[in-house]
Amino acid sequence: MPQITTPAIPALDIEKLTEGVPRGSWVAISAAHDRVVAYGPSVDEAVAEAASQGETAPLIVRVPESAMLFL
Amino acid sequence: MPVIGCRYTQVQFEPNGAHPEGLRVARPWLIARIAAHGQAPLTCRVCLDTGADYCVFPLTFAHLLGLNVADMPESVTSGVTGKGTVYHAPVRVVIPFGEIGPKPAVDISFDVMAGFTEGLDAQGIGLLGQSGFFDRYKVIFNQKRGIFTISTD
Repeated sequence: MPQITTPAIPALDIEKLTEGVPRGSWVAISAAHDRVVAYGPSVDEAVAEAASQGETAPLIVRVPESAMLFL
Repeated sequence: MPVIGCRYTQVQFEPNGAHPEGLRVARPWLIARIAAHGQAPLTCRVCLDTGADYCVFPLTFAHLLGLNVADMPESVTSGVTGKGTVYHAPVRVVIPFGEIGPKPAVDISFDVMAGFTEGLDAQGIGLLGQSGFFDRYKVIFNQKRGIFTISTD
């Protein structure tokens, strides 16, 4: 394992942040990555609502319809 | 470039027939910013996917980036769930370590011919694959220690 030259980058707990957001939603998360700003069934709605709140560069994620393992 | 250590994202799955006690998996996920044609960038989640031949993003992101799918070259790509159409465009990918991580840290930035496919819309996550990412950066996965590292050496 190489010597890490900077402190480790922490993982963002987006699953915890998006708890309570309906499955299938597109979600806009604050640029500070600390809160859900908006969500909706389409990404356009989530982005537009976030922009209306002044969040013009949100992190865009989706809460999957169901929790599934990847292959 | 320093050697950057990154924590895995831990995801817990509920019990099912195959895993009666549930299953906890570690995913090498990062935050990335992608931009095309000088348009406003989009910030999204990406997975370092050694099984992906190149870098691919949800088709929805192409629209957000101001790309017109009708003008984009397309190809058919095979995945574990079948074939799918992929639309291509050059994008700049930035992993903003300097922004999301403890200081000091430097960003990773690279230009790549990326794919966009509807097959990734369900998850809303991009894949950084062999061509475009792993051919540029040295990545060591050490899940046992909960860390993966990225460097240019």
